[in-house]
Amino acid sequence: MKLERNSRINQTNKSEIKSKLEEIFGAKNVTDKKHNLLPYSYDATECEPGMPDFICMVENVGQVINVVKYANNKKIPLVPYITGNNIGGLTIPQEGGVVLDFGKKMNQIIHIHESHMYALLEPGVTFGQLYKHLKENYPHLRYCYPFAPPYSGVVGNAILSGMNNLSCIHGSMGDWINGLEVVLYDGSIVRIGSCFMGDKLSVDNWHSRYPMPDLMGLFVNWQGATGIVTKCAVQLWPRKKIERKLLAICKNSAVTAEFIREIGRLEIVDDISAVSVEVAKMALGDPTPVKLDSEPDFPVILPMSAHNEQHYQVKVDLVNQCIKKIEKKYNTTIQCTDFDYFAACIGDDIRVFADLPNVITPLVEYSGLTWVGTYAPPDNLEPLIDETAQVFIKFDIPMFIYMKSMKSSHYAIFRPIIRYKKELEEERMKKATADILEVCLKYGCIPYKTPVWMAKRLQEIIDPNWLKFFKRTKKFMDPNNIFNPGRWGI
Amino acid sequence: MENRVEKEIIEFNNPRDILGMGIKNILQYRKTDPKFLNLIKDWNKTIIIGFKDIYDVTVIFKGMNIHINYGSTQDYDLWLEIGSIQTMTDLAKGDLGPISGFLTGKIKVKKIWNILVLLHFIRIFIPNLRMAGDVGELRQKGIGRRNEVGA
Repeated sequence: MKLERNSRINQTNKSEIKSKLEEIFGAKNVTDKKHNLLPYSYDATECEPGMPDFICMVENVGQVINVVKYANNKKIPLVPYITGNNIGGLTIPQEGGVVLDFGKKMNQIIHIHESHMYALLEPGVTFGQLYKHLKENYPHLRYCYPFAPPYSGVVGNAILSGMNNLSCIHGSMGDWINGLEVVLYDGSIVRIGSCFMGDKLSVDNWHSRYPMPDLMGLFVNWQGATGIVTKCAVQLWPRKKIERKLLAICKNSAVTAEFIREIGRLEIVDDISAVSVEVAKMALGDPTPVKLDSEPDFPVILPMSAHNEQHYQVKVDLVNQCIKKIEKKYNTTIQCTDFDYFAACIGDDIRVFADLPNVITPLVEYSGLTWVGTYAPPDNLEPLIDETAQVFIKFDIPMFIYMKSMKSSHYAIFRPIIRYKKELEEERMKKATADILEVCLKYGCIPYKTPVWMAKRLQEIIDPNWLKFFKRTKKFMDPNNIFNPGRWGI
Repeated sequence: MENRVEKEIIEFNNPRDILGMGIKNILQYRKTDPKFLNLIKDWNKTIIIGFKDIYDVTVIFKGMNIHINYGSTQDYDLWLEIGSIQTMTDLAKGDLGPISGFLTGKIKVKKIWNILVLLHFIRIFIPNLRMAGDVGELRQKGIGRRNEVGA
């Protein structure tokens, strides 16, 4: 594995840089030892590895300000890192430099505002940590959880617009950010959102992203390339009395696509998560599942919440009415039942998709994991499923597709996933993901948490003026290109 | 010399279809219960469990082996059709019993003249399904979920 990409750091100056970093972070929080650097140089994906020069454990905002000032002066790349569980190579240094690890020590839940319903977080807070804190201290409030391990970072997912188990009703996590505190390239610190009113006026002023000119977009989805987020306020939601799930089983792409769209439009389910039946079988212990002829194509989980039993029953009735319409239109049957009882029959392991946050076992069983995660036009789900299926067959990979309705079907998530043995199959899987990307681009999908190679492909087809504007903005926000350089292939 | 008590265990195959995996899971709920073992032991029968509008699963009981296959076979002792996955969960919850299931058409049977086979299979399957229902009820209350705080 070739790791030493061209580091921007002049290797003869390394000891001077190390001294400075130790002065900022403390000697015990800085390392340049190869065995410590190695885990930060790669991830589970097919993205090219890249060795950092230093790892620093960050403890507070003051350290971030000082290191940014220094790095900007010396043109040293800074790569923010929380837990490294993203599937996009987003924390792999493209040009060496300093990895700032927030996950270990800058991980406080600073404040929960009960009536304004937000949580103010440091970057290292994980989903599991937030889930536990809310369950124990604020059981009437909830946050969302993605198909990601409980040790994944909340802030990283939020500022990368992650999807989650409340996405159908509330959209992506990027929509729920009330405020950010960011360190800019010159070491100045800025607050975005209602928190711009300042600490002197009120502590609890992280209630809203609007209505001032919205600068949030300068930091959301930029992969840390415009500044370093040191605080993030995320919206919480009231927890209703009843939280249950339905499970529906759909046959073929047309029925599944229609089901996802139409149930989403009802605006009564918290989430819609459809996985190919092969994925369900992976969770139940079959490592190389094959879909058999009469098996349903897509089980779909529908988490729903309600104020009381009557409210819940009304929602179930509406789902069933929608199902009847789809059955009539497509001359098919869609069976639907309570998920908890069905899971107890079929196998408790299927609950990995329901009891979030959780380690989704099919995603972690192999050394390699990659996906083409996209925001997709809901109308195109059917051809996306059909044509992506052909790619899976071509490369003899079990079909692993994950789909969601987002924000009442304004848009969808289409995410084909590949798990593989890194040492043996990486080259072949690169080809497979490239083919899948072409299918996705053909139908207007846009990759999220975009790895560099996908961003470069995307740049070939997007509006050139967008690209010019994007580069100008990056240059403005980061004149010396110190913030996670190389992201989006620029 | 110690008398070794040989523990009887049921051997299952590994079904590759999703409903077969489910049937295996259901049958495993009492796999260490001596009463269940006595029901299974040497009850050499072939039962087809059909899931309407999905597909059939063949369950072969032979000695202490239970073999679960995707699809059906011509040579069976009993064929039981479960109207839907909702019917299965209703049976698990106890909202539906086998008799009311038959009477309402939610459960259908072929070769019903093999009444002894039917009754025997009900004794094997329904209590296991009810155990699954008990687990489902606990999970719905939040007990034993994978993300349980402190688990």
